[in-house]
Amino acid sequence: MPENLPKLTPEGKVEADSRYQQILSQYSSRFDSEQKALVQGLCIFVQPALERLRAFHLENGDAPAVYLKPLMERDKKPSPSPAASPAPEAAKKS
Amino acid sequence: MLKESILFEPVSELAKRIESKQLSPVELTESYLERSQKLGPRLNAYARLTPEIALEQAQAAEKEIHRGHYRGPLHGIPYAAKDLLAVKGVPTTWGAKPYADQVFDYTATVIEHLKNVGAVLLGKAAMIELAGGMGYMYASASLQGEAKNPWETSCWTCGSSSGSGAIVAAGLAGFAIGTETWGSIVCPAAFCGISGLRPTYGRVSRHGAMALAYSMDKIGPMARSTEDCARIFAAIAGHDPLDRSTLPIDKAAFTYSPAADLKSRQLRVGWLTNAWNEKDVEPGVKKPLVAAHKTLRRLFPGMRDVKLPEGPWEDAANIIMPAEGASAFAELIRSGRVQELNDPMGRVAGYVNLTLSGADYTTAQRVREILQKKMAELFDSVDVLVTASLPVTATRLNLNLFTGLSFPDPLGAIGNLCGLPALSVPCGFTEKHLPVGLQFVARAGSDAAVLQAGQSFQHATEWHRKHPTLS
Repeated sequence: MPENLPKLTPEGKVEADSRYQQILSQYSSRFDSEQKALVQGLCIFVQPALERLRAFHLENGDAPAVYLKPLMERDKKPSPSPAASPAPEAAKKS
Repeated sequence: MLKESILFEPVSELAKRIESKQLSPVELTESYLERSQKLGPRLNAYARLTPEIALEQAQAAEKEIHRGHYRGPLHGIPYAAKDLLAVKGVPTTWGAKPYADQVFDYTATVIEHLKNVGAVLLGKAAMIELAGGMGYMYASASLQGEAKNPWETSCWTCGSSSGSGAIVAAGLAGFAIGTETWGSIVCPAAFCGISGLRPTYGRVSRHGAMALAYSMDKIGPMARSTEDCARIFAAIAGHDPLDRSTLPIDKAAFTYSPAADLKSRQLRVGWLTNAWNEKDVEPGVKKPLVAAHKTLRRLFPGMRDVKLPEGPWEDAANIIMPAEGASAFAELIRSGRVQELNDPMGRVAGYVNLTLSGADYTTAQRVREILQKKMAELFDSVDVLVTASLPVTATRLNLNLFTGLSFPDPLGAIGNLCGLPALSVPCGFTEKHLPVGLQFVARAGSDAAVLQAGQSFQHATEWHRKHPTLS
């Protein structure tokens, strides 16, 4: 386990342990004991950052930094010349 | 083989010789290749050399120049590209064993731009595996092993553009291309005593580049002077329809004009007083920093102390980067092939990153928007922020980076979350003769401001002209 791990609140401990158990429930067989200790340490390590972030005051209208850029135009292949265009259905019928 | 002193010249000087036909691009390429073959393996600097491509491009450049068709300051200049940039038909390993045999059938836009201006691709630079996207504890987190610092080979170059830093510092190529998600240009530039530009997010196309964190990755030049960085940046910047994250044409393109830039308006410079914790600043960094402060005060008499806004900015970056990285490499993690990585942390951290929630990621993005507004306010009163690139110098090769190179880096988090341009330039040495870096940061889109500040500093100092002695 990494040294100098942060001390967590009781709720933080529960969340960090839950995260660790979630990982073990899926991937336990992939890790040896040293790796399990490292995963557990990393679960503890990430917790204070999450808690500080969640504690930062945000209003409902504070939108995220990354916005959708609707794809309004696509790079199109050059349109075929009018002469090469297939005739419209109506024209075919006439 | 050309004299070593020529191989350490900045691109601007090499270009003058090439344009006046006093220097042959073929001879220059052969000399860099020979030096790279000799010294590259000692430094673990390259993923691979590309001598066939290099000699073909050098011969083409030479013919064109002899016919009177000189393309500009990068024509005939050999360079190395970080091994996360695709080059058609050449292995692109991303520095990682699971991708050791990966070959793309297309070429990254940035490599195409450099080809169009006549630059010569000498090879692919070694890098930290997956640019550090799965986390790493040791400098050995690379398919090529730990990159050794040309100034002191028992020390590291920093990462993730580790090979790019070593190549430029050791005079193995004219310049190199690096990338930064958080610190990967600024840190190796500082540790290796070279100049490195992290451009504004969206100015350089990432088409054909490995993605780590889609909203944070940037590509930039690493070279022997600020002027070189500006010239290379001018060649690679621009809107790219193949990369929707690039800025519009008028915002992405960059034109470099040395005379015009240095004579432009006087910059308002802010000296950051809270970028680093005093206790984290190595004693050896302080002396060069004090001297740099004095120089800057002379160059910019209005320079004043400023502070970064306080908030959970690093926490936001520490959620956004791993969450995006976990998505980028989800298949690698879920398949278990992440176990093939070199680094003990790289083999497991991805599993933790996969568990970060969508709500926490979105919260981090909302905090990021607030930070952008706060930084925009700060840049209403100053044009350029300046501080040490890092509070430390090159670390030992075997250092546990998780515990030994771990200190608050609010400016790195802020700069990369907000997509701000940054330039690291050398500003002196410690008593152990390790380089110390000075960092300029500006408003998004104001890459010219950091280049102007860096160039002014380099006109007044000689640190960028120093190079290590390698036998």
